[in-house]
Amino acid sequence: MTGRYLSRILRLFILLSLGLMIAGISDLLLSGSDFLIKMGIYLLIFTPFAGLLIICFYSKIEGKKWEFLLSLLLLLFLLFNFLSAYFF
Amino acid sequence: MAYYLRWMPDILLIFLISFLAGMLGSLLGIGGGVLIAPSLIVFVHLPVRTAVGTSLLGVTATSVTAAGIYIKRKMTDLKLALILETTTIPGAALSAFLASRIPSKYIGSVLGFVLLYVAGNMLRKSQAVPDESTPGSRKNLILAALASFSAGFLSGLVGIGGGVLKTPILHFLVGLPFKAAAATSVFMVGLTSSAGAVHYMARGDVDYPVAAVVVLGVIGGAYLGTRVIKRAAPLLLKKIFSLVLALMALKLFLEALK
Repeated sequence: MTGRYLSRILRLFILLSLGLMIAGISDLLLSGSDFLIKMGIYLLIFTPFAGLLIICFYSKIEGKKWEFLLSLLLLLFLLFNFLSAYFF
Repeated sequence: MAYYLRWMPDILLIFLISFLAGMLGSLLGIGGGVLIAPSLIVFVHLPVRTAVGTSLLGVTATSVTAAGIYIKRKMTDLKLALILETTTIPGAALSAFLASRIPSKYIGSVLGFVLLYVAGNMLRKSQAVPDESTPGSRKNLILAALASFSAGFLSGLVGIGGGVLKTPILHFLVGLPFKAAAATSVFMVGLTSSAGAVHYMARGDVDYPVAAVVVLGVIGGAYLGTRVIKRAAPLLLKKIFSLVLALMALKLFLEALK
């Protein structure tokens, strides 16, 4: 179950990101704004985080203790990494 | 608009190189940053930091695209990826802490020899070991965790992507078939590269319009790579991987000589 939902989330996010990039390039050429490209990039960077959230959530439901703990640890690392990049 | 049209030939070249990098990345389990970053410096004249930050976004896109498909095909060993990634990250963090105190030039040449040894081993053993039919045995997990820690440490110190070391670790030490090793490695690379990319974005070291072209290219290439890997013979993949390792080793030796 974890793998199925993880795969769906990753593919959905990359598709949304791709759409935003294509729209963003058109927007950049027509109006000079890179807002949509930035949104696409932020979505792309958030995707591994979302993937870990899915692993964490479904491994807890399925009772896979080690996968839950490891994904939680990696999630905390990514969160700390994000905070250290933007705020410290 | 005219400003961007002036750069159109370079942008098309970047798109093609990104496409190739995405394809190689998804086929071999490496990020592809080794191709993207230098081409951004040479063809678009981006500063080194901006080129690295922008290429990290491309590596993340390669990883997410390929991982989504490999996980659907049940080629990725998620638990193993999580175990090894938790040891890679402390290694990379330690290298960031010690980077200024260790002469990375000499470590680069040592790593070059390691890469050459791995490339030779991969070619030699690929002739003898029947691949893909043998399921992953998960042997030497502790040794693989230690090697992952070292891979994180060395790659952080020398500035190469972890994928070139993760795929051999998964294949030789853990015993995964080559395609499964590449699929697991590409998932791990995404976690590491996104963590690195955040720092570059926060510092403003990313060129967003160029990043959009790179991301579009690598997504196309990575998708094609996931189609090709189904039919590609493991022996051929190993030969390509050995060639990439040999070129990386050459690059490290040249940097050490500077």
